[in-house]
Amino acid sequence: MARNIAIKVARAEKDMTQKALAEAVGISRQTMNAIEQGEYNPTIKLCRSICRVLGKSLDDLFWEDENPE
Amino acid sequence: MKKSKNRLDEMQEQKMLKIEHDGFWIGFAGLAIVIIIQVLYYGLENCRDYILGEFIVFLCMGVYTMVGCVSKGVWDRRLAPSWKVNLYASLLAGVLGGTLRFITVWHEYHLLWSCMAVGVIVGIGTFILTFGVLSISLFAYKQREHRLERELSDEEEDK
Repeated sequence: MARNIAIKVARAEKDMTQKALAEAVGISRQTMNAIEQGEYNPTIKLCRSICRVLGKSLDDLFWEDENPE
Repeated sequence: MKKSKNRLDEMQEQKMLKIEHDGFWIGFAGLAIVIIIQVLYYGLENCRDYILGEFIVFLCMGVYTMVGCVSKGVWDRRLAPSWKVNLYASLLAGVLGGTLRFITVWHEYHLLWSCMAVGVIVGIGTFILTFGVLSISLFAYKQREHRLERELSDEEEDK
């Protein structure tokens, strides 16, 4: 699974640390890090929580093109 | 008593389930190995009373898993729910059961043909019993699966 750069960028825009985002969403930093590293595939429920906190859509944060150029 | 709140997030929960899953199968296989070793070492007649505890726990784990799977309409990760697979599994159980019984009887009497006869009879008995239990489970599983799918179809129609 590819790294999720979009979350990292959105987090930086909001000036949030990984720990702060994890706390806002109600998960551990370990899990937040695994999502950003592409090591864990979150449930749709958790994806929506992350989107809500970062003010982004699911497409913005979790959509991946099938053939990235 | 109020149930305490789950302190794990979803990834930790998955990891915990994986650990518990592995722990369950280590326990299950461990119990089977311990029972077989005791039976082989002491003979079935000599250790019957001593392995009763292990055997009851082993049986409970097996029955719980089987009933749980059937009631949820789940069969197996890799094996298909078919009579053919059940037949092979029962044959394997029969061979293992018969061999185990042959060894334990041979340990005591050293009479080749008699021991082989006992082994074959126990093997056939184990095969029939296993095949019977698996057939009943397969029938119950198919009934359950059919019922779950019918409920889903009814819900779709209601909407």
